[in-house]
Amino acid sequence: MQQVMLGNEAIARGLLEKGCTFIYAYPGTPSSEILPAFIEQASEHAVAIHGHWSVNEKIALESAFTAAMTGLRSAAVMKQVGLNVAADAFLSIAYLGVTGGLVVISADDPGPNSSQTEQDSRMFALFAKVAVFDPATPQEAALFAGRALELSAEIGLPVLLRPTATLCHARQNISLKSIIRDSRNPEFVRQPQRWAATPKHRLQLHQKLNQKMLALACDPRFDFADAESRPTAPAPYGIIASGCAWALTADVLSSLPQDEARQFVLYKVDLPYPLHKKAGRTLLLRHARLLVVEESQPVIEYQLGPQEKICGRNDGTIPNAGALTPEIIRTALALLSKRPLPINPAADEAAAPGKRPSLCPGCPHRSSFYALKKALPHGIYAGDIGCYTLGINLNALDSCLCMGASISQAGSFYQTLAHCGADIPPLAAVIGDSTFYHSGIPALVNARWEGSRFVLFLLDNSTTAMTGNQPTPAAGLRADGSRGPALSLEKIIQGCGIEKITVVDPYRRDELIAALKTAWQYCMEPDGGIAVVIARRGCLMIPAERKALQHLQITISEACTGCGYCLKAFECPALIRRINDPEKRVTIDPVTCVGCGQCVAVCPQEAIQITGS
Amino acid sequence: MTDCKLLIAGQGGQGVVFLSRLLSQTALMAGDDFITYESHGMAMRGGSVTSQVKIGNYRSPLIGEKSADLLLVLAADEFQRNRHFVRPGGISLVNSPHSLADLPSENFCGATAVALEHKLAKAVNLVFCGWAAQHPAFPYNFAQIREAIKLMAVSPDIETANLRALEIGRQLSIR
Ligand code: SF4
Ligand code: SF4
Repeated sequence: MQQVMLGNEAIARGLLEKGCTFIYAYPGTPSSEILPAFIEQASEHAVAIHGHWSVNEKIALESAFTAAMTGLRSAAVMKQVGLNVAADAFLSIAYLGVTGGLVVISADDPGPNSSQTEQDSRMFALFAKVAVFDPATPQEAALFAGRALELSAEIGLPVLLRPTATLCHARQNISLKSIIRDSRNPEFVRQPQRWAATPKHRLQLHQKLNQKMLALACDPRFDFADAESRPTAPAPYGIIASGCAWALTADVLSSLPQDEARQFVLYKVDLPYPLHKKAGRTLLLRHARLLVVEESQPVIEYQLGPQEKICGRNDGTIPNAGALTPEIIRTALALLSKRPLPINPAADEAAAPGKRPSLCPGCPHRSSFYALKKALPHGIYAGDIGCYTLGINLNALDSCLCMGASISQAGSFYQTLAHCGADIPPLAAVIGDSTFYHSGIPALVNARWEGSRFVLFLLDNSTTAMTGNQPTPAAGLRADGSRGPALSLEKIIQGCGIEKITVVDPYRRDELIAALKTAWQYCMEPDGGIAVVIARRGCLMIPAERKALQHLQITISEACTGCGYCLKAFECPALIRRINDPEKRVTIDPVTCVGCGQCVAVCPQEAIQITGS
Repeated sequence: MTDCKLLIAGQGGQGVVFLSRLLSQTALMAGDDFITYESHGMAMRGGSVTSQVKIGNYRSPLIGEKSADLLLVLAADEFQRNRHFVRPGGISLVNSPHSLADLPSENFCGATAVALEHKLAKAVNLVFCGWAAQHPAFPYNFAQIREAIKLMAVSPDIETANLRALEIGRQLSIR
């Protein structure tokens, strides 16, 4: 049977087919659809599983690992920067191994399109000594997710599956396999010398790990020296590729004229680490030159070793930043075969920037940022990761480092300035609720302990909006839709030793501005500290929130002078310039306006008016 | 066996992804292989969105410059940014009330205004699709698209509305 599936859905299917029953994830583009798809498919086929949105990736990996310590098959799912968060567990698990099967899925984002870095999770695999599969298409992702799980069970070690965004969000017709029902019961065998290994035992575990990796590097299943289609005449140039980079190269090769294409043979690597030893040597002998195409770092190239014959990312044949395109591959093929470079006809046009993303019409964050700038002008606003990173458009963010860093940074700005006796401008940490749970809490404990002073501006929209509205611990809802306890943000903050907490609806702008001002005053009082302002209003992407919103009729009167202040300072996508208006006045786009009325107070001419509801 | 590389361009919220899913479903029902890719993430927040659809024997969803057979544009602003993907002799069909650049006027259709007129603000993409499906460069015919819409609809109401939008689009080309 064939079905249309997203790459991420195919990965979920592959796990389910091979008996995975425990799955833990933290949402992050491009990996977010895997967990919900797994839960949905399991329930469709009446397979008993447990799936959970962990509070962060480290916890997700620790949980999945523990399930695999009891002999079950499990998966931990995250995006590539999430693997950084989970790294502590990841490197240790590589030594300890599992008794069941454990697949770690880390989705990469070459480009990057939705991330802070374009790091290559396969490089992490090499670093940690964890075998890694690199699937090329959604169909193959289903297959490799299953292969990874089976290999893990076979060798008793975690295995990484590394899809990239072009696969995660590709859609393809997929042939499905039957689902194996895993009815094993968890069985934990006490082995303290393994599961709680001391450094002495760790050395032995490391040696054992090395042996297993060597065995894989000699395993004929991963020999890639046999090309899918070997030409009859010997071709001078070999191309070694893995994952989506292989798929792209295959398509480019088949678009070349026959006589040109004949010069190349394409080899596909399924397991980029550990790289099959003999295959690499064979190809070096077989071809005059070799090109390595991989995304986004030279993992295969590194393992082939420094060789005159090899070109790729290291010698600049392929640029060592940015996502691969058909044009890059075409140029690399020309460089490899020393043919004239293809002319890149429209580079200028291609560089034209698209419409930048902005917060949704009616988004409560926009009102929060507007209030922040009014209440604490000339402040330093330490930002964080989420939709609200778009506050940068509104000139209301000064930093964005990694998950939870807003709080550490605001604290450290205070310490740095205070210790040097410098003037202290208003300091604010701006963080969303989901990011706060993820890694803001330890940072808050630390800042309180260190005696830092700043306003913690918590944008609580009761969801993980950026990645598609996954529930947070405060929602009282779990990944599978079951009810759970709804944790209280206020109580957690109180527990971190913070006394000054105010909760305001960001749509009540004057109250919010007043609360932020009072909060900063408190910070600067002789025995002040950290003051928390929670701006609480649900994300409008949640259908119930949208329904509950009273739709006001907003009109822009002739008093509009076309100054553009509202467009710049408020940037609601529903505020648009009138078409063909010589004065460039503004109007409301009836299709996208949600009638929140938040723009009304923004216009200095009072041209934006409520004219009905 | 159909062979077509097409690019759909628009802005967040315009239903670019829905159109590409619709084409995938149509391809599946026609027994064709296909692979598509949608830009997600930040693009969800109203930014530029493109979807690349390759029908035929392909492995990668990525379409190179000067190689798309067909470019479908839902937001006129996105036309200039994407036209360099169209191969020589390829076709661009654009949702715009007036013609842009050097293209003949029959490549343009003001689907947004028509959709608003019929109170189908959320189905501009399907009005446009109904119009575009009349073009010989479109990989599938109107009846095939209709069947895919029926299969994809999650409720009878949605099915009716979507089919109506498609039909209104089809009427646009009978000028
Ligand atoms: S609505 Fe007001 S702020 Fe916006 S352009 Fe017109 S006058 Fe300026
Ligand atoms: S009322 Fe104003 S702020 Fe709210 S969605 Fe409409 S234009 Fe945007």
